[in-house]
Amino acid sequence: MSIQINNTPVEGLLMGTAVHKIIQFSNDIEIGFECVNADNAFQHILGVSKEEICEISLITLLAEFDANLIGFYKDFVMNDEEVSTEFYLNISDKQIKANLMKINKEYIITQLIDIKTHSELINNISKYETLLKNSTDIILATKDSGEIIDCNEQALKEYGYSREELLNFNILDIRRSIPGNLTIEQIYIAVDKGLIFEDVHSRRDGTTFPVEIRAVGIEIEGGRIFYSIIRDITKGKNLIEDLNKKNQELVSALDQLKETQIQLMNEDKMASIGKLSAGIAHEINNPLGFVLSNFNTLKKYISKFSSTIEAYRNLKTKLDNNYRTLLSQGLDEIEEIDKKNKIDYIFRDLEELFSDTDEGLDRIRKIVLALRSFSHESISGEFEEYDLNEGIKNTLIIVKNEIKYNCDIKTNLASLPTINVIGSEINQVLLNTIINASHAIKEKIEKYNIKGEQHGEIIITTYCENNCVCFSIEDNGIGIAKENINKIFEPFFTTKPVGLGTGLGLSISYEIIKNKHKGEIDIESTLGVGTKITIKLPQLLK
Amino acid sequence: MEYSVLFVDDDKSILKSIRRELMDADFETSFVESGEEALKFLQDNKVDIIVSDMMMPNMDGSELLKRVKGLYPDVVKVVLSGYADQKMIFKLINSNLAKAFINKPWKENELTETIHDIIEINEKLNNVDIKEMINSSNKLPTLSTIHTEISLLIEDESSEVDDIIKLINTDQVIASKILRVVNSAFYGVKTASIKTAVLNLGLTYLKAIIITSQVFDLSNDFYENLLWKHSSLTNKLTISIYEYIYKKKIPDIYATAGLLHDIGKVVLFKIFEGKYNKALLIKEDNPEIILSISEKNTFNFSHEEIGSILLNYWDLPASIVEVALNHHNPEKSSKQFKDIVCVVHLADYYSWKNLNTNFRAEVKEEAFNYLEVTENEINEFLKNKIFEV
Repeated sequence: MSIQINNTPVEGLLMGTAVHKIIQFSNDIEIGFECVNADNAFQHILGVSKEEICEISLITLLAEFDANLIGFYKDFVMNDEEVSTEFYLNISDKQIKANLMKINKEYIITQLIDIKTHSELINNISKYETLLKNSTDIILATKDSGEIIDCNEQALKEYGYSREELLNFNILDIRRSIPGNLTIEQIYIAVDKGLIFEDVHSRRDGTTFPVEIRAVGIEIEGGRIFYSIIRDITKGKNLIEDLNKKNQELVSALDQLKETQIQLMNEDKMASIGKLSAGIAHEINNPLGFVLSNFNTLKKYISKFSSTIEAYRNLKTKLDNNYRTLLSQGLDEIEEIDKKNKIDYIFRDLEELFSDTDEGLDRIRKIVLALRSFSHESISGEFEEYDLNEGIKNTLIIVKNEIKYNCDIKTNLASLPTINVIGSEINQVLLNTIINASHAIKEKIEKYNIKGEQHGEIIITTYCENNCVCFSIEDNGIGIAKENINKIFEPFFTTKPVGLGTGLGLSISYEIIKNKHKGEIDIESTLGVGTKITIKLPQLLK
Repeated sequence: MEYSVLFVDDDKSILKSIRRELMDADFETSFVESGEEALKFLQDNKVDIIVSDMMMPNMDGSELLKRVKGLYPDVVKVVLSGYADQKMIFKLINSNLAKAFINKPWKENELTETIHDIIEINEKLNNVDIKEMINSSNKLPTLSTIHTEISLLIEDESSEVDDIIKLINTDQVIASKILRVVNSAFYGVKTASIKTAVLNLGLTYLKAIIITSQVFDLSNDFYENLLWKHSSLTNKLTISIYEYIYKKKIPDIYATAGLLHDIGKVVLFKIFEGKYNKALLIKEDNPEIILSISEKNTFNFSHEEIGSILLNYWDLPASIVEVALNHHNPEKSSKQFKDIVCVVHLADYYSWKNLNTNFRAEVKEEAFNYLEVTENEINEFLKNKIFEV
């Protein structure tokens, strides 16, 4: 015979059932049980396989957990008046209640219930029910056709209808049709797989609210039921609007910050140019000084020449007029004028005067040219072809005066390809770093009072490496203290006295090299020994 | 006597151009390329004037001038530099490291003219008779040790303002005298605290103020008191007129020029007492008399000469010395300080005018012309000023 055991889905694995055939031995004292059927839950609760259940006697199995059970079963089978009984036992940490029922004299049913887990489950289910009931989300159940067949309290509260009214509605009655809506069919097709979408629902008073819907379809006999969790996202929407606004604010703040940064960079540029203009003026003033002086001297020479020549002409006139007797007297006069005007000296000096003046004019010309190329690149502010070696030479002409009294400059310039950069900004970095180096040297000379004993030295090297055009500026100045080396790129960090350093130079150089040109900037320094700054600029940068 | 001028510049071309330009000069010229060479040259040669560049490798101009000042105090120091930093110029003048400043590039004849100006003033300041008279007189105001100490503190760049204030406050007599000068010679400063006075006015003033406070002894003498009133009012007017004409704050080195312009009169008072008193009486009764001329006739020298010589001897800035020397004859002043000499000339005139005495200073058209103002404009400007003394 075969007995079907149907587990209800809820009970699942928490209630197992087995049917045993009672075998009575001839001596009437021994009783055996042969397993006819046992469900999965039964095996699960006992923790044994189906084979074991079939092969080993139930009593033996149970006796492992409680030895008294052998007697208990025997008594129950023998007692004809009892139809059912129960007992409890613990299997590992599970609390098990066992129900025994006699079907007839031949079969006995053993039902094992995991009571602890079972009661927890029941508890949970009621918790979930409360949760659903009190949920701040709307829960609706609808049919394929859209008819609403169930709802929770929140739905009534949100939509403003009574339960009776709502259960008479189709979902379309509360859906506000807006362009871009999913059609109900689309929703139902998609819902099979579970769907999250946004929609707009209307209330009894005609107002609407945005909702987010999580829907799932469940197959039942004769169709499907759709369960939808509907959440009012007005707040979320507002939140998003808020966020958008905040985002806008942040974007504009960022724009402002960028603007400020540009301003700061310009200020730094102006500061460095300001620092230099005095030096440049001096650099031009010197050659201009002696060129002007020479020019004035030349005017004087000319007047001396004219008066001397005039004397010759006078004599000539006199000679032409046959005053030959006056010849020797005239010659004496001329000699006197010649001497007074230092004509010999002037002749000797003229060549040097012109070559000095030439040299002075050439010095002025070079400075003006360097300034022009420097300022041209400052104006354009765009990525353009740039010759780093040329940039270094121009910058050096401009800074020469600021630094030449404290240090010698050595340049090792390799032949380099041109790079595509914002020339004015690279010039600014060059200016800043070279001036920094000279300041470091000046500081060291002052600090150790070694003026005249040790001359500062700045070595500028250019080279190519891994598709990068690189330069390093090395000085034997004061160096940077270990604890400061990590801070030197921070804006406003400076060790110079108030009013002397903006603390912006290096941070701006960092911004220019690292962010704008995707290059690298690196500093090595030892306090009291010197500093080396290395900058690498990628050759191919759009 | 032929003057000897030494030029120092690390740029050889500059030196060569100067040599050419001065080929006909009536003074001797020498040229060296560094501070070290200059010091060596000074050891072996007579030099009256040194003209030095500022920016030079190793020993720069101010270092060189400092050493020269210490080693050869009689050598007149001049700066020739492309660094046209007003502040530095004033600092050099104030610390008396330079008597004059020439900018690079210089104008045609500017070198010769400046050197001539210096020679001319130097001749006057080195009047042997007056120097001898000053040295031999025991009636001259002497500068207290506190003045010397303060001067040293001011010149020492590392000293703190607080040290100086503390030092002044150790001598209550001097402190109160200083306050009297400060409170009466400057507009807008009224204080009973040395600290406030010093902080308001700045250290540059202090030296002149201390000298003023030492020289103008509080006395009951009518003329001496009148002279003090006149000096403090002249100083106030100098500041006002300067700021009116140039539309900017008066430079520190000029702000005490009015105070000491007539110091020669005080000196004459101290030396000749009643005799000078008499001379003043005559002047008071006969305003058409030019005081300096009657001084020269009676004492052999004028108050301008003796005043400027004394100020120079006390190491006051060239601007103040020249104001004392030329305040009656601004047309004779050097180009360098013509502006302040002209302004004090006007202030001197207006001060006497407002003190309602019979003393009158002559006012010269050249001063108005040089300052590019008219007498009417100044009258109009001063109409609403209060001249309390």
